[in-house]
Amino acid sequence: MNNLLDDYALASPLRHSNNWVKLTVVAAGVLGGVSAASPVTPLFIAACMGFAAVVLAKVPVKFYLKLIALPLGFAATGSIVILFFFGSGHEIASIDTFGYHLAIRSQGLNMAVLVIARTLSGMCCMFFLALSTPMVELFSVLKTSRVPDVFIELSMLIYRYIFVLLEVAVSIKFAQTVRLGYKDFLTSLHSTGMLAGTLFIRSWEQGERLYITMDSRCYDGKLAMFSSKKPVKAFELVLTSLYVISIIAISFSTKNMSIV
Amino acid sequence: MIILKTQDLKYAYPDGTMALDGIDIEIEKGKRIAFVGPNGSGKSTLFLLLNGTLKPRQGEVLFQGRSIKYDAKSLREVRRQIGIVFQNSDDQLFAPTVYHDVAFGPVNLGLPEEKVERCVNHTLKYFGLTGLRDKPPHHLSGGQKKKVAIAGVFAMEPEVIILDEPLSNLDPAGASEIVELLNELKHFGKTIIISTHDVDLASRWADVVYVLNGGKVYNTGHPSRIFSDRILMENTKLKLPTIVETFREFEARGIADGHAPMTLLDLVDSVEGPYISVRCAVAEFDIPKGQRVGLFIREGTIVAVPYTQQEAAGLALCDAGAGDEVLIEGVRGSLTSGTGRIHVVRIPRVMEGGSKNVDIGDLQALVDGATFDRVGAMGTSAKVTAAKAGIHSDFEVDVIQSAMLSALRGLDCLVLASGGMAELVKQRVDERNSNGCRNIQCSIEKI
Repeated sequence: MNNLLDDYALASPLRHSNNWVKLTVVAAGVLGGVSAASPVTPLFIAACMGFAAVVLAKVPVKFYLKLIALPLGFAATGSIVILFFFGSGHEIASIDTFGYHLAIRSQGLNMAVLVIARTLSGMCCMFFLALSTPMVELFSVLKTSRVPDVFIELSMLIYRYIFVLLEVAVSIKFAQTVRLGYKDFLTSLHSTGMLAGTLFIRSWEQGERLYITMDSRCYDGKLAMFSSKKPVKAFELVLTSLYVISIIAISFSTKNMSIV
Repeated sequence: MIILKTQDLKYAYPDGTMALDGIDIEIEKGKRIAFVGPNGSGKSTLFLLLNGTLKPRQGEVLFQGRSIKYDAKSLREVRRQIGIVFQNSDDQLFAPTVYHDVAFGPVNLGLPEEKVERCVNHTLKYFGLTGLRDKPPHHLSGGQKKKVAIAGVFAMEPEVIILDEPLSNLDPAGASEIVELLNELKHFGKTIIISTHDVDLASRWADVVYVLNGGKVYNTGHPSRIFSDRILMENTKLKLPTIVETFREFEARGIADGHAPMTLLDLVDSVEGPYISVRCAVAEFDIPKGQRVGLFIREGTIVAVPYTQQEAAGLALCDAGAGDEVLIEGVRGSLTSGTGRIHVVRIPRVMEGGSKNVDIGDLQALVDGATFDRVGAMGTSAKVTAAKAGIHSDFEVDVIQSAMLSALRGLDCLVLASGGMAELVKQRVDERNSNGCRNIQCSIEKI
């Protein structure tokens, strides 16, 4: 089966830590990263979150780097555009191609680095959450945040059947592949269409069966939610406070800093 | 007491095909019922009618003597009392974790939170699923999923549990575990109904078999009657159980006789006795023709000894000197090196405290003190206790039959049994003994 982020989260030792502590850490990181004026704060946040994910949540380093590389690739392409076409200030470097004069200016460079740093910090924060907190735990967070039950129950059912339908999709795709359903571009298109169509019908049927089974088990509009009691450990509290304070401190002290 | 009954039940699919065409069944409380029949014979449809999911076109379903009403309130009560475990566990496990799923029923019955938690934890413990509590269903194996599905239904404390093809897609170990589980549930006085294509399972497990074919009850009765009828089986596209087929071959060769056996034990019994009436043995002393001699097996060889109330005995066909081979005719009784005994130790059930209430030292002393050739563990608490005491159990599934088979081979067996299952062992052995088969000694001890 595919390795999903949720699988890592379920196996993670941080799964059993208090959800609110983890959410605070992530929220502080995201806000700190986005509001920072210099790239130092986001890089600091990214480093901390990376450390937390790899050391505390025990995510394999190689897998983590691959994970980060993906959004970073996007950010890098975007930054190149920013680098050449944005900002004012003095020229740092320039190239002449086909009669065009492309120049990197100081403001553009600052902006590009900041964008990369912010993307990195934001992604590290979200990955930390995704790798340490399975959906199951988030449902109880939603419950305590007074999100209407209907939404939570729907998301619980959707979450569960993602995996069932994923398995169906994988086996259909496999069955198509062994009968050369993906041998060239046109057949691939056709097969993908069939896969989507079949999957739609399967989910419809699954929905009907789900209705019967829920009814057979006396469904009365209630799904169990357990508000698992996970006391905050002193160690976690200290670490979180230290982290939040460091973000604020670094943010203020590097407010006016820029690379060039 | 009849717990579930249908009268002239008819149901048609939306396209007009008659799925069920006049079904009359009567199910007694506490029995194990198996519905067998080819694909499309209406088993699953019947099950959905029994718990009120489908409404019959004609006829009625009676639960505890009262006809099912199809208003929301009565249906809820019916569904609480009649639980269904569906064939595909994924249809049934819709909650994100095992805990949530088992809690689903109790929550919808409106139990307060602490009660739900207690009930769920207890159920998980009973089914040996505590370790999987926080796992999502897509991380479970097929057997584990099936167990969780059964646990989810069990948590609502239904009177009747219906299982549609409970063993489909399970490996042999997973399947035996589920069968054991069903036997344990029977012990709680639950009525258990299954549908299956597996005639081997139905023949050894069920008390009553219903054969469905073309939307009708084709035949019903004790498995030994249904499954020994070759014509009935052929007409309904079923096959004879392997045991019965083996027996028929033996019977045709004059090796076995009597009623068609339903279990391995029955089969062994059917070949014991007089049917190999002439044996070749090694004489241990000078035997004149016509002398009555006793027979027993010594290291794989049949030995003829002076007759003294041996289990097996016969008359010499010819004169023979000591050490010669001799033909013995009219051999009766079974040739073994003796019959072992079965010693049952009653371990408290999970609800009675389970392995915590067992003095492990006492148990080890018991095992060390007497020499047992085989050890069996039956039921969750017994298995846990055996593991705790470091006792290796030779059989954990089909324990009673395995113990009796071993005893018939002359081995002494120790059976650790949870709660009331201890009495069940004794009862089954006594039942067998009273059938005129070779006696097996069985004793019970409580610790």
